[in-house]
Amino acid sequence: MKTVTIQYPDQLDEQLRKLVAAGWFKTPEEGVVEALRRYLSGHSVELQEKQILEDVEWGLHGRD
Amino acid sequence: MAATEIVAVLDAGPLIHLDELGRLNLLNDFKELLVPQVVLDEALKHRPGLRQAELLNLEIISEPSLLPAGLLKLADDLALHAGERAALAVLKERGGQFLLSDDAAARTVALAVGFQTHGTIGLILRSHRRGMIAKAEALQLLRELPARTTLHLRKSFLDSILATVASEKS
Repeated sequence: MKTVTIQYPDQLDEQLRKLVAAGWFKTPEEGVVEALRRYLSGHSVELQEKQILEDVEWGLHGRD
Repeated sequence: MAATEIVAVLDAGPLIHLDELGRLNLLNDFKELLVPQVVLDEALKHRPGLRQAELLNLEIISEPSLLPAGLLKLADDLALHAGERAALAVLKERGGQFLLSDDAAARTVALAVGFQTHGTIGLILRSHRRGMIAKAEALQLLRELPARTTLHLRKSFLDSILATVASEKS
């Protein structure tokens, strides 16, 4: 595990704390890690684009 | 055109992105369209006005069963979100064929255990193939993805898809 100290805008903090209060995350730190994971997952460019190209082929020529 | 016999399970991505395009109705071409409550909650967080009434065959699954051990290990390894785990559990539980997701990690897990996975772009093109929308509209929806949706794509990559689709014989 890595420890990183960051500064981020108050507005983002307010949104994050609303999610914590609503039960989406146990702590703000957990929310930050989840946001980072989602970003990195969604931006694994090679994997995402490979899947989309397969999807284009299916969309155009699939049988179902 | 009659809906196919396919049972599909929705993750939040296509639900959000097709709603952003005003085209949730493209999801009506499945025999059953299942969505875990946790996925719907996530989509509604992003899109409070989500027009779920447009989804004619939608069934909301309140409490999916737990993932089998092998699938749970994969889900843990790729740190899948609760909604993605629930969608996979519903696929297993209900004998579904398709996971509809734009999340690379969720799609990787689904493929690894034998499900088909398709995302927003594939669904738009399938709708054209199955006669729900004209090619011109499919192209227009693809062109509008960057401006109207939160689906992020490199411009050059989207341009190459548009060129591929445009060159197809209708």
